[in-house]
Amino acid sequence: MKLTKEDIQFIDQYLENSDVVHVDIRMEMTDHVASEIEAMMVGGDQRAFYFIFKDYMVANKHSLLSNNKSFIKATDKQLSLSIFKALLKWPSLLTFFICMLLFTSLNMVTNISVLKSWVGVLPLIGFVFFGVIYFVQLKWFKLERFSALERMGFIYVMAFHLFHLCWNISNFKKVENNYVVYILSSLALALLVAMVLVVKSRISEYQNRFEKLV
Amino acid sequence: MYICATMSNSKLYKGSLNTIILKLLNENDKMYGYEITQKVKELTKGELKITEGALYPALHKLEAQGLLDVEVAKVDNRLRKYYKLTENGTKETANKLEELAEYIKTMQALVNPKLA
Repeated sequence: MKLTKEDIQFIDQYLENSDVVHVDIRMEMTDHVASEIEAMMVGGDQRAFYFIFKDYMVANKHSLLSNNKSFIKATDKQLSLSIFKALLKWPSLLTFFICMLLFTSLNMVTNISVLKSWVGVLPLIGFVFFGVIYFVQLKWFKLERFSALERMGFIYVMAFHLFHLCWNISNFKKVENNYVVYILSSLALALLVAMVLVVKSRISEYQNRFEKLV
Repeated sequence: MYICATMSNSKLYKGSLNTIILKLLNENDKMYGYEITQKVKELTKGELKITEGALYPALHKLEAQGLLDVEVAKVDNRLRKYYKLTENGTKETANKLEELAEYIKTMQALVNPKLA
């Protein structure tokens, strides 16, 4: 006995309302719940779908929703590892060396110490800009939310805080030697390139997995 | 309790969950979450029941470690996520099974020296 499309949508909607907002984790939970309910029906449960579902969720909701947290943790771990690997790839390394060369060359012809006051703020401006665009297009086009794309924002903010912590602890602002600022700025830009590489690969992975199916 | 066993030995099984998953996937080309729980229940004649709260985090960790690959297919009005072993996953399965066999042998020697 198979559940109808409406039954599946009901489970999916219920899970979405229970804060399982990312479609890549929700679809697995929906399939699990649907498979359990179908097995109960095959096993002789004569009740209507809604009543079986209700009892199942009462008994298993906590265990089921704990998947959400663990999935997000695993996603963060996976993303951090991917970003680190991407940081060692040639586009990121090239960005780092080009930026270093550019800052050093610019400093020879003009004073770029103004970079010191901007270097900490630029990543935040970028984050707010991309964040607003992302959430506006989600609402506008009614797109599904995918875990890796959103968790990338979390990793970005963490990297930004780490950057600021280093900045404040070491008090680089007062350092006369501008090379420290150049290294940090170049590293921040290389990190941004690495993140873009990871986002691109995750988008194409999601497209391969879901595009032909939905 | 995440892994339910009829005897109070769920902690013993908990440490072997990854090995159980890898072994099952090694024997089957690809499997989905619910299928794994049912297969374990069937093989152990109901002695061991893996709940979703234990299974999916383990699957996601194995996927994050690059031991499992994922394939999504549309089945019965819904999307189904299938897991299969990667090349590294196959190697890791062999290692894990070897470790488990060694562990069982050691325990056997301790608990029942005559059989060891």
